[in-house]
Amino acid sequence: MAEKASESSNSISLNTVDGKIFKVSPTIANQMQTIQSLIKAYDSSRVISLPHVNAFHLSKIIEYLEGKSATTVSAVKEFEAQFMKDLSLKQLKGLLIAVGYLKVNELLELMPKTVAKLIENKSVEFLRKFFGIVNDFTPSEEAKIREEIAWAFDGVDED
Amino acid sequence: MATTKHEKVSINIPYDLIFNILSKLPIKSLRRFSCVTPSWANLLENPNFMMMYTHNFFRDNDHDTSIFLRQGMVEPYDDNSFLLCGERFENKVKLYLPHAIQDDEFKCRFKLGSIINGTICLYNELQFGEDEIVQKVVLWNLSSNEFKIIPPDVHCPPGFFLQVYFSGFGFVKLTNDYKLIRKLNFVIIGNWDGVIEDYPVSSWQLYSLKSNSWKELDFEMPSNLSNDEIYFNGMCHWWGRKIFDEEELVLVSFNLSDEVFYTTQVDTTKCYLLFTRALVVINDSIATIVMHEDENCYDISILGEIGVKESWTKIITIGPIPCISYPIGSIPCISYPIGVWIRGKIFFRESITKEIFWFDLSVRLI
Repeated sequence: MAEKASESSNSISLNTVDGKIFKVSPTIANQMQTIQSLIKAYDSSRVISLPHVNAFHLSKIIEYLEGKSATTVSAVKEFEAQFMKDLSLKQLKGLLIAVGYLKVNELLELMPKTVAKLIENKSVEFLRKFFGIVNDFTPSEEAKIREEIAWAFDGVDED
Repeated sequence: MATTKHEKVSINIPYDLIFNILSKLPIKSLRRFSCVTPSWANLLENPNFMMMYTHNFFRDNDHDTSIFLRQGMVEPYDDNSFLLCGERFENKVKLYLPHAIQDDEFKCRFKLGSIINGTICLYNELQFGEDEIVQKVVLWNLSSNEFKIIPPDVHCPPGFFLQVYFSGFGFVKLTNDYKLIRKLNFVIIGNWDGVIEDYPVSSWQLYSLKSNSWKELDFEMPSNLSNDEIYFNGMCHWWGRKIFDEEELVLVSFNLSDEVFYTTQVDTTKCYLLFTRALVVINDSIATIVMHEDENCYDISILGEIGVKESWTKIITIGPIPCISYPIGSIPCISYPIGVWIRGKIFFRESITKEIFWFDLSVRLI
């Protein structure tokens, strides 16, 4: 009991952009580099505001950091696979932005791989939309490149 | 849901993360996405991006962890086959053939293709006896030590001389069946004075372990030019020359399930010779390691799409390497070991001392 009490007194409060307060243990908080440096800079009893992270994303990150502490390598792999499977590509995008902002290194390793796997068969148009990229090619420039690499357009998924 | 409000304000993934994602894509996707925007068009020429790309590419590769070495071909009766294994290939395990398949002729043997599910295929040269032709072909499972002698099943009509070219050893997952591909060439003996039967000059045959028989394939394809054949993803691959254009070097890919073959041309401007070119599988892609003719540098190119010459994509140049070496797996000469690509390491054989060394691409060290 005593241990639990001391942990909760040490816990760090994070306030998401949509106004939800999360209390996390120092072990979890320290795995988010951005928060780690904020704790060092401020009094740890203060509530840390996260202007770029919403409750859904933060809860997912905490879920991941708590869940990946499985004992065996294969159990971690299984957990990671399930964790990623439950997320849509749109959710992954939002989460990746949050993860990039909070600098959660382990997810920064895992998530680009997951996203890469999901977009590898997508169309060029899908990618532009997904990454929010403006096409600076003139139609003739683009047509020329497409012609050169026509083989790479086989087996592309429907958007 | 609270999140919807924020998703309306479209926030994009920062550039460093986008490049991180792109660096984990297969070569075909990366080539396709070169027309997303001009700044992505030249990613393959961007050294920083390629550094990241090759790092991921070679590191993610954790397939087979052992390579098979064949030594002692210089002295044909010295029976030496080794398996190199272990994280740093510190274990050199001598392989002892089961007694039943050991004999003098079989000491001089070659390995066909890749090691599949712990099984290797070994064969020796064709022997011409009094009345019969003998060639021993063995499938040998290294872990159970079980073996199977493949029936030669060849008949050479009088007046002909027979040549057998093995092109592939592969596996069909769906039927759980091992396959071998060979080409028989019937050459008319010049000074034969007997009657010559009307006989086809060559034929392709496919062996199935399940049915334990060879069956005729009713088409021609380029035959195997080197000892560099590989099995990957349901297909056997080997180097050949185009049927109607002998000058043209092609990669032949034979699909074992539908028995259709494809050819992919290769760029031979930098290197025409076969023995300076290795065929390997890296991180689920077919790749070649090509030695430049004038310097000790090697280009590694990945095949984006079978059948498309333009889809070969060079991803890295390594070297110079301090001694003249051939990439292992490339040497057509019968006496060389066949090992390839394991955990981001490229294996070379020093041409004089025959030492094996490797170049670790994930850390770029020899």
